[in-house]
Amino acid sequence: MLQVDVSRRQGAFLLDVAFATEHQRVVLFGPSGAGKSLTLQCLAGFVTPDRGRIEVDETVLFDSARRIDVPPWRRRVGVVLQTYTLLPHLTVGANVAYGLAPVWRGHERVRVDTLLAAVGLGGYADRMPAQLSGGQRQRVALAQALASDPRLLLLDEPFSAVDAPVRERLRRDLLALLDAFRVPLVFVTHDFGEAYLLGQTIVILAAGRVVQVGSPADVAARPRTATVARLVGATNILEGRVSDVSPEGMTIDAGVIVVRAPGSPRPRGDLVTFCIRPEDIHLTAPRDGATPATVTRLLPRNGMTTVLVSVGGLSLEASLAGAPPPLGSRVAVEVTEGAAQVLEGGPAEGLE
Amino acid sequence: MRVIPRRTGVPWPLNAAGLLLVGYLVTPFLFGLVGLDARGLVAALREAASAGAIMTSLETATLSTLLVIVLGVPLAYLLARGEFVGKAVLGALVYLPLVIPPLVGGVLLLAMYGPYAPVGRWLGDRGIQITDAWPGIVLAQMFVSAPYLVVAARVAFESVDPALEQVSYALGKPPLVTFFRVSLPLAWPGILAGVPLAWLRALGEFGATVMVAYHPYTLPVYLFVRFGARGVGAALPVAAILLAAGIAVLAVVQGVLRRSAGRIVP
Repeated sequence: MLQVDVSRRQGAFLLDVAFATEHQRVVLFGPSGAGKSLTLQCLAGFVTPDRGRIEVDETVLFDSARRIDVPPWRRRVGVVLQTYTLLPHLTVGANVAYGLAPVWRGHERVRVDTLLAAVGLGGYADRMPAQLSGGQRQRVALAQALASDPRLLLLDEPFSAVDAPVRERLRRDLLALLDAFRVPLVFVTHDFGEAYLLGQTIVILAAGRVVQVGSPADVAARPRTATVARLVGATNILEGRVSDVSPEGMTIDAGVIVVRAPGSPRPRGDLVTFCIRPEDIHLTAPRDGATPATVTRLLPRNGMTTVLVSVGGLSLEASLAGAPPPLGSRVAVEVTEGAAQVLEGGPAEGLE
Repeated sequence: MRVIPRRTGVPWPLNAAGLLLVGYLVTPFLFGLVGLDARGLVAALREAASAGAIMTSLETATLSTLLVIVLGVPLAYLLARGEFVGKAVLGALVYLPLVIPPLVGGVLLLAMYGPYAPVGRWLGDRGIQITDAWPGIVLAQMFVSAPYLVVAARVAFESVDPALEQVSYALGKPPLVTFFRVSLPLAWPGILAGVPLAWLRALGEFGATVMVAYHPYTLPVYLFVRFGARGVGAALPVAAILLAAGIAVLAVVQGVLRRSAGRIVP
């Protein structure tokens, strides 16, 4: 269990972050400058919050009210950062042995070999860090962090300096490692795909504050604000008026399209902001009664194609698996029933 | 002959000015060499040794350098990593011995450690003589050589990634352990580069030393005494000894730096 409530003024930046979770894998997710790393530094004890409280599994690491501030070297947290932080003057084996928990005294060599094997680098103990690739260095850094038997593993974008294919492997291996060593994780990333894969709880930060907390599927499907919607890839953010209200939800008329949105209804005639994920916008052959649109741009990505269409002056984004319609062609737009998600605040929130 | 203008290159007035300075710096060495003869050099070496100047200089310069390392490395770390009020002032104070004349340093040391000065008298009452003894020489040498080491060590500590120290903390190593196992080993090559400079500066120290400790002779003071008594010809061989020491140490440092340059990897 992890309980965090910290605030700190850093120049003009104000960090004020609070969340609590029972989950083993927490991802701090948000754009750069949101305060993710600063929050992690508070957890590690490298930065002292102006006020607040940090508790991990019934152990209080920081409590300004009770004047508790456990120094980093007594927090038992494992830290892996984006920059390579292996000690350059020590071998891989000595790096892993560096923070080895006292219970392993007398069995250092065996434990180091076990840890290196666990990160897939058995037999690398006598190499120097400079002889390793970026991905290998981060594997050793994980073994080094695990060697101290940490109560919490803090990873700050540890794979972002690594080539994409290696990064994918590292993410999967990290999940296996966490299961094997049963250590809770706090992971910082600005990549929603990574957050979705690794997090059981995703804490979304923006401008130094928590804007939403939830499971990956929950925050992806139900972003609360336009800021979150953009971050989780619900890129179609529109405004419309509530035209009909029923027990299942409401109908919103956005002028060029009319959508159904679930959730607690707003009064008829209200101006609301809502979002639709690109996967929920379908393009079909033009026909009577359907909303007509023109294909304005094709953006292939990862075997999918993001298709930008113009609907009466409004630009929408659709994500297609198969062959996309040709550029400039006339299509019809359909939205998955109930896929529209009503947001708090206006459509421009987070853009200024 | 037609001169083909190169796109890059040093314009000739700058070249000329640079060469003029080099000439000015190098020609005295040539005249000095001409004035030397082997017999005079051997005789001067023997006389300097019998006056105790060679051993006194080697011993005091080495001792003051060791003291400067032991006290200067922590100060350098403080200046590199510490966050405290007056850090900028302290950092500037370190440079003070470089910008004040050594003679002034000697006067200040006398004002504190002289036989009639408060600290000097207190120590003298307990049988510890500072002036005209090797402690005075060491104090004078430390005064002028400390900045060389502190500045080199500060730069060396500042080039150590603070994230490495943070990771060490997270691995359960308190600041003192982290200092000895991470910061110091990583900064050590840079600190080492400052050591010969500090040692040479201590070896060549004259202005403060001659005020605080005329006796026992160090090589520079001995050189001055010979010059006063017997002129340039007699001083020249002693100057050559000091010069040779300087060149030898610089050559060793260059060699070590070049060898370790291949070893240091990001």
